[in-house]
Amino acid sequence: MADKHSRRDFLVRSGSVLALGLLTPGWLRGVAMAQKLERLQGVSPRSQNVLVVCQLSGGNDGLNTVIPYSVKDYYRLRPGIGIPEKEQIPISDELALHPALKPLKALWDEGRLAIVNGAGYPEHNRSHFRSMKIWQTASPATQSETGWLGNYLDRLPDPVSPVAGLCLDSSASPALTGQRVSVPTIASLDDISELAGTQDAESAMRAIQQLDGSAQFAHVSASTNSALDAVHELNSLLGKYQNCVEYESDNFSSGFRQLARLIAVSPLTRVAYLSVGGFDTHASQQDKHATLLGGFASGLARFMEEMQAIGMRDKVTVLAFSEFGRRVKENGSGGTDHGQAGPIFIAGGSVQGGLHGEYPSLSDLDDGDLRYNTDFRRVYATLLDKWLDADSEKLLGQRFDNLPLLRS
Amino acid sequence: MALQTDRDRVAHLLRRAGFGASLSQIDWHAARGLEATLDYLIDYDSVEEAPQIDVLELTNMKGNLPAPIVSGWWLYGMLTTQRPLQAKLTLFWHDHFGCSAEKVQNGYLMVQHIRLLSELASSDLRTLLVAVAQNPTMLRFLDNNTNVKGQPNENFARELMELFTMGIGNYTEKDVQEAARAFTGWSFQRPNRIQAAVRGAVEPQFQFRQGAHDEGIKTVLGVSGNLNGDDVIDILLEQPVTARYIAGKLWSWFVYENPEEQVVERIAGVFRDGNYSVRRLLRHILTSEEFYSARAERALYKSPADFVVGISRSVDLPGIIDLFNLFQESDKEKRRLLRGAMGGVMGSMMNMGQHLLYPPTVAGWDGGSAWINSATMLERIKFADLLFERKEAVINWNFLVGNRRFESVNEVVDRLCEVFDAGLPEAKRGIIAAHVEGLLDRTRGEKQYRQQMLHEACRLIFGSPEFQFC
Repeated sequence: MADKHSRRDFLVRSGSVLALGLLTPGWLRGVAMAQKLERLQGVSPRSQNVLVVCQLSGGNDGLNTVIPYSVKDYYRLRPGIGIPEKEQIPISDELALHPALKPLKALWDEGRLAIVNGAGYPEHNRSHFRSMKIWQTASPATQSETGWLGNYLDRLPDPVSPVAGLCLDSSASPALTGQRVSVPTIASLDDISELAGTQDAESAMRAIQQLDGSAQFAHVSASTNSALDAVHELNSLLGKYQNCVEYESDNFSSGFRQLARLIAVSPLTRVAYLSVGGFDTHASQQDKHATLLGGFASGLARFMEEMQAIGMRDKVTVLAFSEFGRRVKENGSGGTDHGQAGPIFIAGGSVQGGLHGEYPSLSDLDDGDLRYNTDFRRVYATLLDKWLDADSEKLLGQRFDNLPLLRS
Repeated sequence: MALQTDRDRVAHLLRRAGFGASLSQIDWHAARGLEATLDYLIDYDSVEEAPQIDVLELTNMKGNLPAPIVSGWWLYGMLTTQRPLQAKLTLFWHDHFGCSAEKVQNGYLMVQHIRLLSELASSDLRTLLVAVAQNPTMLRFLDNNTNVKGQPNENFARELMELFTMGIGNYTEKDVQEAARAFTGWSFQRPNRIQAAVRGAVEPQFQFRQGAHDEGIKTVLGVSGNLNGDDVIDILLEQPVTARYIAGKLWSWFVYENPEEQVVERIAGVFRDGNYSVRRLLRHILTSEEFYSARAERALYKSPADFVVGISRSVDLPGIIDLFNLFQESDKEKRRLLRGAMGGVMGSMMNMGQHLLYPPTVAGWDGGSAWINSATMLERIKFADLLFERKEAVINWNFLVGNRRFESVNEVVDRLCEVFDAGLPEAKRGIIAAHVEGLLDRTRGEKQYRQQMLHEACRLIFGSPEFQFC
């Protein structure tokens, strides 16, 4: 945990402060710095790691996200929507990033961004709904009622914080469904104080949730109680800190901004979940996809910048995934249909950057799709074992070899 | 269990085949009897519809019709309709054929879509499927307008099988690809200015583009030939699983979730034997013994529409905010009034997870228990703030309680539970009354005191587990 002195060092070195310094007179710079330091007073020390999961819903076109630029088939199969080589951002002898991912280049160069190529699972399913459920429950073969992170939160020793896990959304993620815990789903952290009522009103609301043995009402009661607990907790915490980095206004940026605030003040939060849709690019995908990836990259980069500013970058790891990649050959609508394997992104101060998994071959396709070679559950297992200090074999129901995704 | 009296059964029917009703409406229907109420609801064509807003008049200066205005128009329809079953079915089909304005990006197309679903809400499944498949809104939403020979786009063909007819797991990837070929060339055309002037046409029309259609042999679910889109729909309707899937889904919407195997078998038979007539199937469902059984009573989670429209209709909210003014104002003023009147209600629904015209995915909303989570429960509680918190609160004491004398907070809570058809047992009403009493501030004068009583009581009623079911 960084002390105040080293936090200030972070600030001085961090890009936003430098940029500010070039444009503003000295006295104003002093004020800005003082304000920033003041804001940092609210940051709570954290001893344990936190995992942020970012879900790209709709099926991200992995092939245009991480591009095998030297493969001729790429340009042949994607004459309309292929990214021209001169616009790509090369990251190795064979691979390049989509130009909209430029904000992530610095993280990559620093070795704090890992990419797992060819991620997927056996007997692929091209339905959004089924495939997303498979990623969320880590259970390709059977239907599971609980999610992989819900299973993890279920086993945290008591007492856990009411926001040990949090889903920033208006609909709950099945990944966070547990048997014991009811993970709060909160639409926005920005207006939490409006939601908090008086102590009396809160206890009245708790009183009418009582069950008198009716199983039918258990889900409503658990949801309401978890809302009351979370709002109570967040209302007392969030006021202590304002973001010290500016974000764009797209959905990714807004989500990352709010999660940065949460992580700054809530030392017992272990898992936070964010999902953004729009990746189902069957038609006219070029601009749409670039806008989405741009929001993702900018939001994630600023988030990491803020984590660094508050001395928490080494305590936070972000996992970004999508339910499937898309068909290699573009369709007649300037888009792509549902496919199979795609890349996973892992970012953070403790991440061992670089490429993992094998990039799937474009000449050996499965019904027009990239074949998976790395089971996504290996990534989950690594994060559970090495990052969240859990037993992945128990949580995932079988053993998966870890990947070298984290610095030791 | 309840549902012992005819009035209980009528109230149950109105909750399900509509969005609930006010006490006086329930009384009126109960006096006419269950049979007459069923006829009233199901044979809705013979019921005169309440005056509705002409949505096309709400076009703005730039000639656009923003989708949120269309949502407001539709919600207004749900709040005021005299044909609640038609409105509920329209919502069912919107949920089933989950076209979102997010992608369609055109208010006129959304109007066209909702009108189509409303018009065909209780027709037969084949008519509905063909009309939806040829509807420009759907053609655009699932990209079939760009599905062409040699470069098929599978989006529509996949969802047609996975979501609109058979359900997942009953077809192969090959079936999807072949069906996509059968739908090549199904597109739409926008009328050009001259056509529009001559024919008075403003709406885009379905167009079959022969040149873009794949004339080759396709094989879908074992049937081979030079198949066209209609042929694929016929093949899908031949599959026994289709009748089971759709009838089962209707049952889950109207009666209870996870119907028994023999029930599904029975209603699928009724559906097929009736040439897939939705009206006939619904009559069977709504008159079945199971529909009035203990298992069905208050067994379904209220959707945000059930919740919000139900509360609003039980207190005649549209009457209170006097939307009749809408018809006497200029177009600009109409838009402003509609936005103002519907804005709060629509915003609440959206935060509860149901943004009309914006289903989250083509599968519609997950529904059932997924409606309830911590975020949406906070919104449901907050709906009481919308009704009572403003200075000139929408609903006041006289309206809800009348001029009767009330001896205790208990009596007020009982009355509110009756008005809102809350289904709360006496013990819970007692808990609410006791707590409300503790929350009240008597120092601010009688009027504020009463308003606060309604407000606090409704927060607790709206947040009670019982109230989330219909």
